[in-house]
Amino acid sequence: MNAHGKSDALGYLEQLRDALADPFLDEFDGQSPSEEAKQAAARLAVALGYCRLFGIDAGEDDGTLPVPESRGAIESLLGQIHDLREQIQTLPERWDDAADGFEAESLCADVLEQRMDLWAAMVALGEASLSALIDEDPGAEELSEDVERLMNAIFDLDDEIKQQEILLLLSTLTETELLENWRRNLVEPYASILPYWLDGTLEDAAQYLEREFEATVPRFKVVKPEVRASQRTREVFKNLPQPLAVAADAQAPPNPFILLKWRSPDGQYLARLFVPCPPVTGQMVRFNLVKLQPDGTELPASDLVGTFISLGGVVSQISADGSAHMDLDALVKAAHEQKEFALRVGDSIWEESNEEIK
Amino acid sequence: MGDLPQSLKRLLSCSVDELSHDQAMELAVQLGKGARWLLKPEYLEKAKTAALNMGFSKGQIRGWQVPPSLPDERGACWVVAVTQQPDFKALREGVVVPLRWEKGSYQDDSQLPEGLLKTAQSVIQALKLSGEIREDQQWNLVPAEECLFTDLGRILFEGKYASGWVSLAAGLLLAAGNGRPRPDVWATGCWNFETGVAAVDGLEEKLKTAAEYKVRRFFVPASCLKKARQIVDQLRLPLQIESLADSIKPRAALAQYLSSLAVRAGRHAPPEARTATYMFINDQQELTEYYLDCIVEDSADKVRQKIDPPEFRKCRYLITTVSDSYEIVCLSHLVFRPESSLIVFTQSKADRYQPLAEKAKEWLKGKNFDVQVRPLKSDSSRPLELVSEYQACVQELLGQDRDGPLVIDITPGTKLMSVAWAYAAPRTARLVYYESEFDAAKRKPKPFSEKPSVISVQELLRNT
Repeated sequence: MNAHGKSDALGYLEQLRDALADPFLDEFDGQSPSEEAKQAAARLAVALGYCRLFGIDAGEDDGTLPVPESRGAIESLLGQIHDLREQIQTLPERWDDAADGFEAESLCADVLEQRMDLWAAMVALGEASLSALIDEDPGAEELSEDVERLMNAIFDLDDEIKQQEILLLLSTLTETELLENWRRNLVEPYASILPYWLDGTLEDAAQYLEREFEATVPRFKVVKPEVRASQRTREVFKNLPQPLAVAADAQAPPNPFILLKWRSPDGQYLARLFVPCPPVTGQMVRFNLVKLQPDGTELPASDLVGTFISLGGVVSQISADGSAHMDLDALVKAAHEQKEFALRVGDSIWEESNEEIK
Repeated sequence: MGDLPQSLKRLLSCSVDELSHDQAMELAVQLGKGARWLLKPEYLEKAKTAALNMGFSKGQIRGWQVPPSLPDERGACWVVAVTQQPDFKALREGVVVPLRWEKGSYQDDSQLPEGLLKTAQSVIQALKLSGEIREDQQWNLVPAEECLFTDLGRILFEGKYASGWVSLAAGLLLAAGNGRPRPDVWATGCWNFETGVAAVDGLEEKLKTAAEYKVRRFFVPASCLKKARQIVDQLRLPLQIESLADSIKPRAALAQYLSSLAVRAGRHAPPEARTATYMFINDQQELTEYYLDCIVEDSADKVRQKIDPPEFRKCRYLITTVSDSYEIVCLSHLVFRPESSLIVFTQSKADRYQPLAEKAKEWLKGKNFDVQVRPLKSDSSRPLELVSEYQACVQELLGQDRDGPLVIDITPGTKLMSVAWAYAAPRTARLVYYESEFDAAKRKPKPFSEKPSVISVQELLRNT
């Protein structure tokens, strides 16, 4: 706990300590610090800034960045802004190429996390600049100019991010906990002066996207991943080749399956279905449901045992090993006949994340 | 790697133990047709286990065979390259890329990885410059499997491929000569337009991959021979390492490799296929054996049919000469089917010709021919003595049956020896000469192209 009653659940204090312990910072005692030293200073500015934004008491590790470290950090951050602008310019293309909803979201989250880092760094660097002016540090004026240069670069960067197409993509993050986590952790005065990515702009963009999508599906450039995937899932079943009488008839296709994936609304579970291509008459297919672990591993979703699962009206029940079986012929028939073709697990509809997976 | 989805990168970076069965299967499915070429066997095995556990049959996952079968149709070839992505633990160290040369109209090659396309263009340029393929012929290198380079895994096939030059060149030479490749003969080697075959990197990875594919013979640049043999000894790989030749002419540099690579068309294959095989074989002994096993009988039947007038086929005695090979000796016997025959050779070159004559005799005895072998004391430098010796040969063979139908084959031997026969042959004899199409590049006569000219000595003398 700290003065604001906040815990360091997100680990920023740890980051600050790591940043302070970076041996490259020693180079600021000399004349010309290396790129690595400037990057270390930038990491320190970001970590210190997060402690300010989230009201984390750094205790003995707290302090103000000295002028040389601040100027080094700014140089490094300017380079990062340049890279981030390139990432933003290619975001629509990379978003389109993303394999699934997870990947598309992580591309957007990466952009916003970097922007959040810049906000944190600016807080720490602004503090350092003010302190230098008060202390009449000989480098105060130069630092002040550098901070202004950084601010201008950030303004230019924000112009890129605020383009409608980018905002619409970033708005997909409103369905995650990321933005709300940040908002929840901010302390005053920052909680009252929210930046544009936390002040509801992205939520507005998400609503706009929803409305526009409904109105202009055929010509709208940005298509939400789950919508595309939904179309694809039905298409997969509708376009399967004629089933073989027996599996032995298969001509050893080098790519014998099509993978379909769904994610639970809370993101904790994943369902996989491997559709055989070509299919075999009367074959049962198995949904494998797993619980995603923080370390990236998966465990069978045995806690969902007994839960009903359905796709296109074909119903099954989840077994103790997290699997559920359905008749492939019935699924193919449903894909041609049923209006709804979503995966329901219990009471919830699971989001598809099948984009571009063949 | 910009186009590779993060989810795929994550799976590729995991060790096989870190992946669940479902994840292993997801990895294999995401890589599409490239999976069986790119993934280490243990990853594919895990994916197969996952599929079997899901209730799919072995037949449905036959396509994930480990290792996959190499293409062997006409035009097929492959290169082995070393993976450039050490962080992707799931990838094989040496990746085999199955390919095919296609002749004809222009196709868009853009789906080929850029490095591979450049190497293919270099091969075409070199083979056109050396006259091995025609300047106006269009050849395209394409993946042996449709969509191999259009699935998600395509990016993982990107690389330099300079060391695939000799494999691609041999593949094109085979394709242009109607040959087919043997999957158990591999090679690696770059090409330098000024010095010929050049050294390669990644030998260990390539040799290990070859062993996994059950390769029998592996050809390497001469400069890599020692190192390759050391690797094979150290790792106890069951590979026979051989050297590509030092030559700036592609066919000469690849001759032995090409000969090993070419599939031997069987005894009952179409004549064109057997001809193609014959033209690719580099070793003289193997060449003769192949000719006698797979070509000579059908070829002799065709030649016999071409003899005009048909009564010129009549032959009780045959005299022929052994020169650098004895294939024509055997052919002539099967064409004329003599009751008794004599094979002559120049005694001054007995060390070279006598063994060949004896081999011919042995082979013909196996076909129930009554064959004698006789050295000639005279040679082309003493034509008059040669005429006398030839006359003695005739007497020896015919004995009392002086007017018995005798055919003398003047195709082998020197020109003066042929002239000598014109003077030595009895009036009742016939001379035969076989004319063949000669492939200058491969320095061989083409089988099945022989045209016999049978001349009556009596007719010849009447007109002179």
